[in-house]
Amino acid sequence: MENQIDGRALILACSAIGAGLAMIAGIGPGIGQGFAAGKGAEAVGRQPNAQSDIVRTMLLGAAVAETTGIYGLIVAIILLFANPLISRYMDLLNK
Amino acid sequence: MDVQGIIDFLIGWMENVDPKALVLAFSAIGAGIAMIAGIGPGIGQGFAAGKAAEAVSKNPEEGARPATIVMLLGSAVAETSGIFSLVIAVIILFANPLVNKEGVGIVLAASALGAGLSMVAGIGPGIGQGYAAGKSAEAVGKRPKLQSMIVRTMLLGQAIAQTTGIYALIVALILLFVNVLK
Amino acid sequence: MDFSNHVVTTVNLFGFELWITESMVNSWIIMGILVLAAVIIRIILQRRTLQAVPTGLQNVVETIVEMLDNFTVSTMGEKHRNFGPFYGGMFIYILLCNLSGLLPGPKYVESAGYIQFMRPPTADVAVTLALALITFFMTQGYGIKAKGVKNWAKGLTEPMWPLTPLNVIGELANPVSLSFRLFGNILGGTIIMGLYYNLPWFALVGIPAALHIYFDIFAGVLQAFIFVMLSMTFVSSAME
Repeated sequence: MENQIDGRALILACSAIGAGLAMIAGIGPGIGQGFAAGKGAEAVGRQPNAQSDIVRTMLLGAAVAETTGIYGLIVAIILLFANPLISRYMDLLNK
Repeated sequence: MDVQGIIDFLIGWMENVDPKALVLAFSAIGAGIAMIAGIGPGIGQGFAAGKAAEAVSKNPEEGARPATIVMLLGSAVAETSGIFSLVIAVIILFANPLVNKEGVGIVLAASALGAGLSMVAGIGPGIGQGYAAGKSAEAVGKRPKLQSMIVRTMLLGQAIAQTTGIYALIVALILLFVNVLK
Repeated sequence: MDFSNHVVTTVNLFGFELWITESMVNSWIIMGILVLAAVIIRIILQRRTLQAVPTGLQNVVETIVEMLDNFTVSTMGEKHRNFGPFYGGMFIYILLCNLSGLLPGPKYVESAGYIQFMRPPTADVAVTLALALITFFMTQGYGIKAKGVKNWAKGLTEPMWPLTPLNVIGELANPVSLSFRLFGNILGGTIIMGLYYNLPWFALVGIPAALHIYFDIFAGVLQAFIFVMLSMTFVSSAME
Protein backbone atom coordinates (compact mmCIF):
# COMPACT_ATOMS: atom_id res chain seq x y z
CA MET A 1 0.00 0.00 0.00
CA GLU A 2 2.10 2.88 -1.30
CA ASN A 3 -0.10 5.61 0.10
CA GLN A 4 0.00 4.17 3.62
CA ILE A 5 -0.22 7.36 5.67
CA ASP A 6 2.24 7.40 8.54
CA GLY A 7 0.14 7.26 11.73
CA ARG A 8 2.47 9.56 13.61
CA ALA A 9 2.20 12.27 10.95
CA LEU A 10 -1.60 12.11 11.11
CA ILE A 11 -1.59 12.53 14.89
CA LEU A 12 0.78 15.49 14.65
CA ALA A 13 -1.40 17.07 11.97
CA CYS A 14 -4.57 16.66 14.00
CA SER A 15 -2.84 17.89 17.17
CA ALA A 16 -2.09 21.12 15.38
CA ILE A 17 -5.76 21.45 14.41
CA GLY A 18 -6.80 20.62 17.98
CA ALA A 19 -4.45 23.23 19.46
CA GLY A 20 -5.84 25.85 17.11
CA LEU A 21 -9.44 24.99 17.96
CA ALA A 22 -8.68 25.07 21.68
CA MET A 23 -7.72 28.72 21.47
CA ILE A 24 -11.18 29.71 20.21
CA ALA A 25 -12.07 29.81 23.92
CA GLY A 26 -10.28 33.17 23.98
CA ILE A 27 -13.45 34.82 22.67
CA GLY A 28 -15.13 34.45 26.06
CA PRO A 29 -12.67 36.25 28.35
CA GLY A 30 -12.22 38.87 25.60
CA ILE A 31 -15.88 39.84 25.62
CA GLY A 32 -16.31 39.38 29.34
CA GLN A 33 -13.29 41.36 30.46
CA GLY A 34 -14.16 44.09 28.01
CA PHE A 35 -17.59 44.39 29.56
CA ALA A 36 -16.03 44.43 33.03
CA ALA A 37 -13.61 47.20 32.03
CA GLY A 38 -16.45 49.23 30.55
CA LYS A 39 -18.61 48.90 33.65
CA GLY A 40 -15.56 49.62 35.80
CA ALA A 41 -14.88 52.88 33.94
CA GLU A 42 -18.54 53.84 34.24
CA ALA A 43 -18.48 53.04 37.95
CA VAL A 44 -15.37 55.16 38.55
CA GLY A 45 -17.08 57.96 36.66
CA ARG A 46 -20.06 57.77 38.98
CA GLN A 47 -18.08 57.45 42.24
CA PRO A 48 -14.51 58.76 41.82
CA ASN A 49 -13.54 58.62 45.51
CA ALA A 50 -14.24 54.85 45.67
CA GLN A 51 -11.87 54.35 42.78
CA SER A 52 -9.47 51.98 44.50
CA ASP A 53 -12.27 49.62 45.60
CA ILE A 54 -13.85 49.68 42.17
CA VAL A 55 -10.58 48.96 40.37
CA ARG A 56 -9.80 46.17 42.84
CA THR A 57 -13.15 44.48 42.30
CA MET A 58 -12.95 44.91 38.54
CA LEU A 59 -9.42 43.48 38.32
CA LEU A 60 -10.37 40.58 40.57
CA GLY A 61 -13.44 39.75 38.48
CA ALA A 62 -11.50 40.12 35.24
CA ALA A 63 -8.76 37.78 36.48
CA VAL A 64 -11.39 35.22 37.47
CA ALA A 65 -12.89 35.52 33.98
CA GLU A 66 -9.41 34.83 32.59
CA THR A 67 -9.23 31.24 33.76
CA THR A 68 -11.15 29.50 30.97
CA GLY A 69 -8.98 31.26 28.41
CA ILE A 70 -6.00 29.89 30.34
CA TYR A 71 -7.49 26.39 30.20
CA GLY A 72 -7.63 26.64 26.42
CA LEU A 73 -4.04 27.89 26.41
CA ILE A 74 -2.87 25.00 28.58
CA VAL A 75 -4.57 22.37 26.41
CA ALA A 76 -3.06 23.98 23.31
CA ILE A 77 0.42 24.04 24.90
CA ILE A 78 0.05 20.40 25.97
CA LEU A 79 -0.92 19.45 22.41
CA LEU A 80 1.98 21.40 20.93
CA PHE A 81 4.87 20.81 23.30
CA ALA A 82 4.18 17.73 25.40
CA ASN A 83 1.95 15.65 23.13
CA PRO A 84 0.69 12.68 25.20
CA LEU A 85 -1.08 11.16 22.18
CA ILE A 86 2.19 10.64 20.30
CA SER A 87 3.85 8.90 23.24
CA ARG A 88 0.69 6.77 23.67
CA TYR A 89 0.88 5.82 19.99
CA MET A 90 4.58 4.97 20.29
CA ASP A 91 3.83 2.70 23.26
CA LEU A 92 1.12 0.95 21.26
CA LEU A 93 3.45 0.52 18.30
CA ASN A 94 6.31 -1.15 20.06
CA LYS A 95 4.08 -3.15 22.33
CA MET B 1 -13.96 15.33 -8.52
CA ASP B 2 -17.68 15.53 -7.65
CA VAL B 3 -18.99 15.17 -4.13
CA GLN B 4 -19.08 11.39 -4.42
CA GLY B 5 -15.40 11.41 -5.38
CA ILE B 6 -14.47 13.57 -2.43
CA ILE B 7 -16.29 11.31 0.01
CA ASP B 8 -14.62 8.23 -1.50
CA PHE B 9 -11.26 9.94 -1.15
CA LEU B 10 -11.91 10.88 2.46
CA ILE B 11 -13.16 7.45 3.45
CA GLY B 12 -10.42 5.93 1.33
CA TRP B 13 -7.49 7.37 3.25
CA MET B 14 -9.21 6.66 6.54
CA GLU B 15 -9.12 2.95 5.68
CA ASN B 16 -5.42 2.61 5.00
CA VAL B 17 -4.38 4.38 8.17
CA ASP B 18 -3.57 2.51 11.33
CA PRO B 19 -6.90 2.69 13.29
CA LYS B 20 -5.09 3.45 16.55
CA ALA B 21 -3.49 6.52 14.92
CA LEU B 22 -6.87 7.59 13.55
CA VAL B 23 -8.44 7.41 17.03
CA LEU B 24 -5.60 9.39 18.59
CA ALA B 25 -5.67 11.96 15.82
CA PHE B 26 -9.39 12.60 16.19
CA SER B 27 -8.90 12.68 19.97
CA ALA B 28 -6.53 15.61 19.55
CA ILE B 29 -9.17 17.50 17.56
CA GLY B 30 -11.85 16.49 20.09
CA ALA B 31 -9.77 17.80 23.01
CA GLY B 32 -9.25 21.08 21.16
CA ILE B 33 -12.95 21.49 20.42
CA ALA B 34 -13.91 20.67 24.01
CA MET B 35 -12.04 23.76 25.18
CA ILE B 36 -14.26 26.04 23.09
CA ALA B 37 -16.70 25.87 26.01
CA GLY B 38 -14.36 28.40 27.67
CA ILE B 39 -16.29 31.11 25.84
CA GLY B 40 -19.23 30.75 28.23
CA PRO B 41 -17.57 31.29 31.60
CA GLY B 42 -15.40 34.01 30.03
CA ILE B 43 -18.40 36.09 29.06
CA GLY B 44 -20.40 35.23 32.17
CA GLN B 45 -17.68 36.00 34.69
CA GLY B 46 -16.80 39.18 32.83
CA PHE B 47 -20.42 40.30 33.15
CA ALA B 48 -20.32 39.46 36.87
CA ALA B 49 -17.12 41.48 37.28
CA GLY B 50 -18.67 44.48 35.54
CA LYS B 51 -21.85 44.35 37.61
CA ALA B 52 -19.83 43.97 40.83
CA ALA B 53 -17.75 47.03 39.95
CA GLU B 54 -20.97 48.94 39.31
CA ALA B 55 -22.40 47.74 42.64
CA VAL B 56 -19.27 48.97 44.42
CA SER B 57 -19.70 52.39 42.85
CA LYS B 58 -23.34 52.62 43.88
CA ASN B 59 -22.77 51.72 47.50
CA PRO B 60 -19.05 52.07 48.32
CA GLU B 61 -19.20 52.10 52.12
CA GLU B 62 -20.84 48.84 53.14
CA GLY B 63 -21.71 47.43 49.70
CA ALA B 64 -18.16 46.91 48.41
CA ARG B 65 -17.12 43.80 50.31
CA PRO B 66 -20.42 41.86 50.04
CA ALA B 67 -20.66 42.58 46.32
CA THR B 68 -17.11 41.32 45.76
CA ILE B 69 -17.71 38.18 47.80
CA VAL B 70 -20.99 37.38 46.02
CA MET B 71 -19.36 37.99 42.64
CA LEU B 72 -16.52 35.61 43.52
CA LEU B 73 -18.95 32.97 44.77
CA GLY B 74 -21.08 33.24 41.63
CA SER B 75 -18.04 33.23 39.35
CA ALA B 76 -16.66 30.16 41.11
CA VAL B 77 -19.91 28.32 40.35
CA ALA B 78 -19.91 29.64 36.79
CA GLU B 79 -16.45 28.11 36.48
CA THR B 80 -17.75 24.56 36.65
CA SER B 81 -18.66 24.23 32.98
CA GLY B 82 -15.14 25.37 32.09
CA ILE B 83 -13.75 22.79 34.50
CA PHE B 84 -15.99 20.06 32.99
CA SER B 85 -14.61 20.65 29.51
CA LEU B 86 -11.06 20.78 30.87
CA VAL B 87 -11.62 17.43 32.59
CA ILE B 88 -12.95 15.87 29.38
CA ALA B 89 -10.01 17.28 27.39
CA VAL B 90 -7.52 15.94 29.93
CA ILE B 91 -9.25 12.52 29.91
CA ILE B 92 -9.10 12.43 26.11
CA LEU B 93 -5.46 13.53 26.09
CA PHE B 94 -3.90 11.62 28.96
CA ALA B 95 -6.15 8.66 29.73
CA ASN B 96 -7.62 7.96 26.33
CA PRO B 97 -10.20 5.20 26.92
CA LEU B 98 -10.98 4.68 23.24
CA VAL B 99 -7.58 3.55 22.02
CA ASN B 100 -7.51 0.06 23.41
CA LYS B 101 -11.24 -0.53 22.90
CA GLU B 102 -12.00 -3.09 20.23
CA GLY B 103 -14.24 -1.75 17.48
CA VAL B 104 -14.14 -0.13 14.06
CA GLY B 105 -11.42 2.54 13.92
CA ILE B 106 -13.60 5.19 12.31
CA VAL B 107 -16.37 4.72 14.89
CA LEU B 108 -14.00 5.12 17.83
CA ALA B 109 -12.36 8.15 16.24
CA ALA B 110 -15.77 9.70 15.63
CA SER B 111 -16.69 8.99 19.28
CA ALA B 112 -13.66 10.90 20.48
CA LEU B 113 -14.56 13.81 18.21
CA GLY B 114 -18.18 13.63 19.36
CA ALA B 115 -17.17 13.77 23.02
CA GLY B 116 -15.25 16.98 22.33
CA LEU B 117 -18.12 18.47 20.33
CA SER B 118 -20.69 17.73 23.02
CA MET B 119 -18.67 19.67 25.59
CA VAL B 120 -19.10 22.87 23.56
CA ALA B 121 -22.50 23.10 25.29
CA GLY B 122 -20.60 24.50 28.29
CA ILE B 123 -20.97 27.93 26.71
CA GLY B 124 -24.60 28.15 27.83
CA PRO B 125 -24.28 27.52 31.56
CA GLY B 126 -21.13 29.66 31.61
CA ILE B 127 -22.96 32.72 30.32
CA GLY B 128 -26.13 32.03 32.29
CA GLN B 129 -24.46 31.49 35.63
CA GLY B 130 -22.26 34.52 35.05
CA TYR B 131 -25.39 36.60 34.43
CA ALA B 132 -26.89 35.31 37.68
CA ALA B 133 -23.67 36.11 39.55
CA GLY B 134 -23.62 39.64 38.11
CA LYS B 135 -27.24 40.42 38.95
CA SER B 136 -26.91 39.04 42.48
CA ALA B 137 -23.73 41.06 43.05
CA GLU B 138 -25.73 44.11 41.97
CA ALA B 139 -28.59 43.17 44.29
CA VAL B 140 -26.24 42.67 47.24
CA GLY B 141 -24.72 46.04 46.46
CA LYS B 142 -28.15 47.61 46.90
CA ARG B 143 -29.23 45.61 49.96
CA PRO B 144 -26.11 44.23 51.73
CA LYS B 145 -28.13 42.95 54.69
CA LEU B 146 -30.01 40.47 52.46
CA GLN B 147 -26.76 38.81 51.40
CA SER B 148 -27.47 35.26 52.63
CA MET B 149 -30.93 35.16 51.01
CA ILE B 150 -29.61 36.55 47.73
CA VAL B 151 -26.72 34.07 47.71
CA ARG B 152 -29.06 31.15 48.37
CA THR B 153 -31.35 32.18 45.51
CA MET B 154 -28.36 32.66 43.22
CA LEU B 155 -26.92 29.22 43.99
CA LEU B 156 -30.31 27.60 43.40
CA GLY B 157 -30.73 29.33 40.05
CA GLN B 158 -27.18 28.53 39.00
CA ALA B 159 -27.62 24.88 39.87
CA ILE B 160 -30.65 24.69 37.60
CA ALA B 161 -28.75 26.52 34.85
CA GLN B 162 -26.02 23.89 35.19
CA THR B 163 -28.25 21.01 34.08
CA THR B 164 -27.63 21.32 30.33
CA GLY B 165 -23.90 21.38 31.03
CA ILE B 166 -24.30 18.16 32.98
CA TYR B 167 -26.28 16.59 30.11
CA ALA B 168 -23.40 17.41 27.78
CA LEU B 169 -20.94 15.91 30.26
CA ILE B 170 -23.00 12.71 30.52
CA VAL B 171 -23.18 12.32 26.73
CA ALA B 172 -19.43 12.90 26.44
CA LEU B 173 -18.67 10.34 29.17
CA ILE B 174 -20.99 7.79 27.52
CA LEU B 175 -19.24 8.32 24.19
CA LEU B 176 -15.85 7.87 25.81
CA PHE B 177 -16.40 5.00 28.21
CA VAL B 178 -19.50 3.05 27.20
CA ASN B 179 -18.95 1.76 23.68
CA VAL B 180 -22.60 2.05 22.63
CA LEU B 181 -21.95 2.24 18.90
CA LYS B 182 -20.83 -1.37 18.51
CA MET C 1 14.56 26.02 23.01
CA ASP C 2 12.14 24.19 25.27
CA PHE C 3 10.22 25.42 28.27
CA SER C 4 9.95 22.22 30.25
CA ASN C 5 11.24 21.87 33.75
CA HIS C 6 14.72 20.38 33.36
CA VAL C 7 15.87 17.88 35.94
CA VAL C 8 18.97 19.29 37.57
CA THR C 9 20.12 16.20 39.45
CA THR C 10 18.55 13.02 40.76
CA VAL C 11 18.96 12.00 44.37
CA ASN C 12 18.06 8.50 45.55
CA LEU C 13 16.52 8.57 48.98
CA PHE C 14 16.50 5.09 50.49
CA GLY C 15 15.78 3.43 47.19
CA PHE C 16 13.39 6.04 45.85
CA GLU C 17 14.78 8.24 43.09
CA LEU C 18 13.98 11.91 43.72
CA TRP C 19 14.25 14.31 40.75
CA ILE C 20 15.52 17.73 41.79
CA THR C 21 13.96 19.95 39.15
CA GLU C 22 14.78 23.48 38.09
CA SER C 23 11.75 25.01 39.76
CA MET C 24 12.63 23.35 43.07
CA VAL C 25 16.14 24.82 43.00
CA ASN C 26 14.82 28.23 42.01
CA SER C 27 12.25 28.23 44.80
CA TRP C 28 15.02 27.27 47.27
CA ILE C 29 17.02 30.24 46.00
CA ILE C 30 14.04 32.53 46.54
CA MET C 31 13.35 31.12 50.00
CA GLY C 32 17.02 31.68 50.83
CA ILE C 33 16.78 35.32 49.74
CA LEU C 34 13.65 35.86 51.86
CA VAL C 35 15.04 34.21 54.98
CA LEU C 36 18.32 36.09 54.63
CA ALA C 37 16.53 39.43 54.22
CA ALA C 38 14.35 38.74 57.26
CA VAL C 39 17.30 37.83 59.43
CA ILE C 40 19.37 40.83 58.35
CA ILE C 41 16.48 43.27 58.91
CA ARG C 42 15.85 41.70 62.31
CA ILE C 43 19.49 42.13 63.36
CA ILE C 44 19.67 45.75 62.15
CA LEU C 45 16.41 46.75 63.86
CA GLN C 46 17.30 44.96 67.07
CA ARG C 47 20.50 46.94 67.58
CA ARG C 48 18.82 50.30 67.02
CA THR C 49 16.20 51.59 69.49
CA LEU C 50 12.84 51.78 67.73
CA GLN C 51 11.67 55.41 67.55
CA ALA C 52 8.02 56.40 67.66
CA VAL C 53 8.47 58.33 64.41
CA PRO C 54 10.11 55.65 62.23
CA THR C 55 12.89 56.64 59.86
CA GLY C 56 14.94 54.79 57.27
CA LEU C 57 14.80 51.01 57.29
CA GLN C 58 12.29 50.81 60.12
CA ASN C 59 9.95 53.08 58.17
CA VAL C 60 10.11 50.86 55.08
CA VAL C 61 9.48 47.67 57.00
CA GLU C 62 6.63 49.19 58.98
CA THR C 63 4.85 50.44 55.86
CA ILE C 64 5.13 46.98 54.24
CA VAL C 65 3.74 45.21 57.30
CA GLU C 66 0.97 47.79 57.68
CA MET C 67 0.04 47.48 54.02
CA LEU C 68 -0.22 43.69 54.24
CA ASP C 69 -2.27 43.87 57.44
CA ASN C 70 -4.70 46.42 55.96
CA PHE C 71 -4.97 44.23 52.89
CA THR C 72 -5.93 41.25 55.06
CA VAL C 73 -8.36 43.23 57.21
CA SER C 74 -10.08 44.84 54.22
CA THR C 75 -10.61 41.40 52.63
CA MET C 76 -11.35 39.19 55.61
CA GLY C 77 -12.79 41.69 58.07
CA GLU C 78 -11.51 42.94 61.41
CA LYS C 79 -11.94 39.77 63.44
CA HIS C 80 -9.61 37.75 61.17
CA ARG C 81 -6.69 40.15 61.62
CA ASN C 82 -4.48 37.32 62.85
CA PHE C 83 -4.35 35.90 59.31
CA GLY C 84 -2.28 38.93 58.29
CA PRO C 85 1.26 37.55 58.80
CA PHE C 86 0.45 34.24 57.08
CA TYR C 87 -1.13 35.76 54.00
CA GLY C 88 1.50 38.51 53.99
CA GLY C 89 4.24 35.88 53.84
CA MET C 90 2.41 33.93 51.14
CA PHE C 91 1.92 37.11 49.11
CA ILE C 92 5.60 38.05 49.30
CA TYR C 93 6.71 34.52 48.38
CA ILE C 94 4.39 34.27 45.35
CA LEU C 95 5.30 37.83 44.30
CA LEU C 96 9.01 37.07 44.39
CA CYS C 97 8.42 33.77 42.54
CA ASN C 98 6.54 35.58 39.79
CA LEU C 99 9.13 38.35 39.55
CA SER C 100 12.03 35.90 39.48
CA GLY C 101 11.72 35.83 35.70
CA LEU C 102 13.61 39.14 35.79
CA LEU C 103 16.63 37.82 37.67
CA PRO C 104 19.48 36.21 35.71
CA GLY C 105 19.33 32.58 36.73
CA PRO C 106 21.63 29.56 36.72
CA LYS C 107 21.92 27.95 33.27
CA TYR C 108 20.81 24.33 33.35
CA VAL C 109 20.48 23.85 29.62
CA GLU C 110 22.26 25.24 26.58
CA SER C 111 19.33 27.32 25.38
CA ALA C 112 19.86 29.44 22.32
CA GLY C 113 18.85 32.66 24.06
CA TYR C 114 21.55 35.24 24.84
CA ILE C 115 20.57 35.78 28.44
CA GLN C 116 19.44 32.93 30.65
CA PHE C 117 16.73 34.18 32.99
CA MET C 118 15.67 32.28 36.06
CA ARG C 119 12.62 30.09 35.36
CA PRO C 120 9.88 31.23 37.78
CA PRO C 121 8.94 28.37 40.13
CA THR C 122 5.27 29.29 39.70
CA ALA C 123 5.58 28.32 36.03
CA ASP C 124 5.29 24.73 37.26
CA VAL C 125 1.89 23.26 38.11
CA ALA C 126 3.33 21.32 41.08
CA VAL C 127 4.21 24.56 42.90
CA THR C 128 0.91 26.31 42.21
CA LEU C 129 -1.16 23.21 42.99
CA ALA C 130 0.67 22.89 46.32
CA LEU C 131 -0.19 26.51 47.16
CA ALA C 132 -3.80 25.98 46.03
CA LEU C 133 -4.12 22.83 48.16
CA ILE C 134 -2.92 24.81 51.21
CA THR C 135 -5.84 27.16 50.60
CA PHE C 136 -8.24 24.25 49.97
CA PHE C 137 -7.42 22.48 53.23
CA MET C 138 -7.45 25.77 55.14
CA THR C 139 -10.90 26.54 53.74
CA GLN C 140 -12.32 23.15 54.75
CA GLY C 141 -10.45 23.09 58.08
CA TYR C 142 -11.52 26.53 59.22
CA GLY C 143 -15.03 25.89 57.92
CA ILE C 144 -15.29 22.77 60.07
CA LYS C 145 -13.66 24.55 63.03
CA ALA C 146 -16.06 27.50 62.78
CA LYS C 147 -19.31 25.68 61.98
CA GLY C 148 -18.75 22.15 63.29
CA VAL C 149 -18.75 19.07 61.08
CA LYS C 150 -22.55 18.71 61.00
CA ASN C 151 -23.21 22.29 59.83
CA TRP C 152 -20.28 22.08 57.45
CA ALA C 153 -21.74 18.95 55.84
CA LYS C 154 -25.19 20.55 55.82
CA GLY C 155 -23.61 23.56 54.11
CA LEU C 156 -22.61 21.30 51.23
CA THR C 157 -26.28 20.52 50.51
CA GLU C 158 -26.90 24.27 50.31
CA PRO C 159 -30.34 25.11 48.88
CA MET C 160 -31.68 21.55 48.36
CA TRP C 161 -30.24 18.08 48.88
CA PRO C 162 -30.12 17.09 45.12
CA LEU C 163 -27.51 19.83 44.60
CA THR C 164 -24.91 18.11 46.77
CA PRO C 165 -22.81 16.73 43.86
CA LEU C 166 -22.74 20.15 42.24
CA ASN C 167 -21.60 21.79 45.49
CA VAL C 168 -18.88 19.16 45.92
CA ILE C 169 -17.68 19.75 42.35
CA GLY C 170 -17.76 23.50 43.04
CA GLU C 171 -15.58 22.99 46.13
CA LEU C 172 -13.12 20.77 44.26
CA ALA C 173 -13.02 23.20 41.31
CA ASN C 174 -11.62 25.98 43.53
CA PRO C 175 -8.06 24.63 43.92
CA VAL C 176 -8.00 23.61 40.25
CA SER C 177 -8.99 27.08 39.02
CA LEU C 178 -6.71 28.81 41.57
CA SER C 179 -3.64 26.80 40.59
CA PHE C 180 -4.25 26.84 36.82
CA ARG C 181 -4.87 30.62 36.82
CA LEU C 182 -1.47 31.38 38.42
CA PHE C 183 0.33 28.60 36.50
CA GLY C 184 -1.17 29.49 33.11
CA ASN C 185 -0.41 33.18 33.32
CA ILE C 186 3.20 32.76 34.46
CA LEU C 187 3.95 29.89 32.05
CA GLY C 188 2.41 31.89 29.18
CA GLY C 189 4.65 34.83 30.08
CA THR C 190 7.74 32.61 30.30
CA ILE C 191 7.08 31.02 26.91
CA ILE C 192 6.49 34.35 25.18
CA MET C 193 9.67 35.83 26.70
CA GLY C 194 11.64 32.71 25.74
CA LEU C 195 10.35 32.80 22.17
CA TYR C 196 11.05 36.51 21.91
CA TYR C 197 14.64 36.22 23.06
CA ASN C 198 15.45 33.90 20.18
CA LEU C 199 14.93 36.65 17.65
CA PRO C 200 18.07 38.16 16.06
CA TRP C 201 19.85 40.89 18.02
CA PHE C 202 18.23 43.97 16.39
CA ALA C 203 14.83 42.91 17.76
CA LEU C 204 16.22 42.81 21.28
CA VAL C 205 16.88 46.55 21.57
CA GLY C 206 13.92 48.13 23.34
CA ILE C 207 10.98 45.80 23.08
CA PRO C 208 11.90 43.08 25.61
CA ALA C 209 11.82 45.70 28.39
CA ALA C 210 8.19 46.47 27.54
CA LEU C 211 7.34 42.75 27.37
CA HIS C 212 9.05 42.18 30.73
CA ILE C 213 7.10 45.04 32.28
CA TYR C 214 3.80 43.56 31.12
CA PHE C 215 4.44 39.86 31.66
CA ASP C 216 6.78 39.72 34.60
CA ILE C 217 5.85 42.81 36.58
CA PHE C 218 2.18 43.58 35.84
CA ALA C 219 0.94 40.01 35.39
CA GLY C 220 3.21 38.76 38.21
CA VAL C 221 1.99 41.31 40.77
CA LEU C 222 -1.64 40.97 39.64
CA GLN C 223 -1.65 37.15 39.80
CA ALA C 224 0.02 37.13 43.23
CA PHE C 225 -2.58 39.67 44.45
CA ILE C 226 -5.46 37.69 42.91
CA PHE C 227 -4.26 34.35 44.30
CA VAL C 228 -3.92 35.65 47.87
CA MET C 229 -7.14 37.68 47.74
CA LEU C 230 -9.15 34.69 46.45
CA SER C 231 -7.61 32.43 49.11
CA MET C 232 -8.53 34.93 51.83
CA THR C 233 -12.06 35.30 50.46
CA PHE C 234 -12.59 31.52 50.31
CA VAL C 235 -11.33 31.03 53.88
CA SER C 236 -13.28 33.94 55.33
CA SER C 237 -16.54 33.00 53.55
CA ALA C 238 -16.09 29.41 54.74
CA MET C 239 -15.91 30.67 58.31
CA GLU C 240 -19.01 32.88 58.06
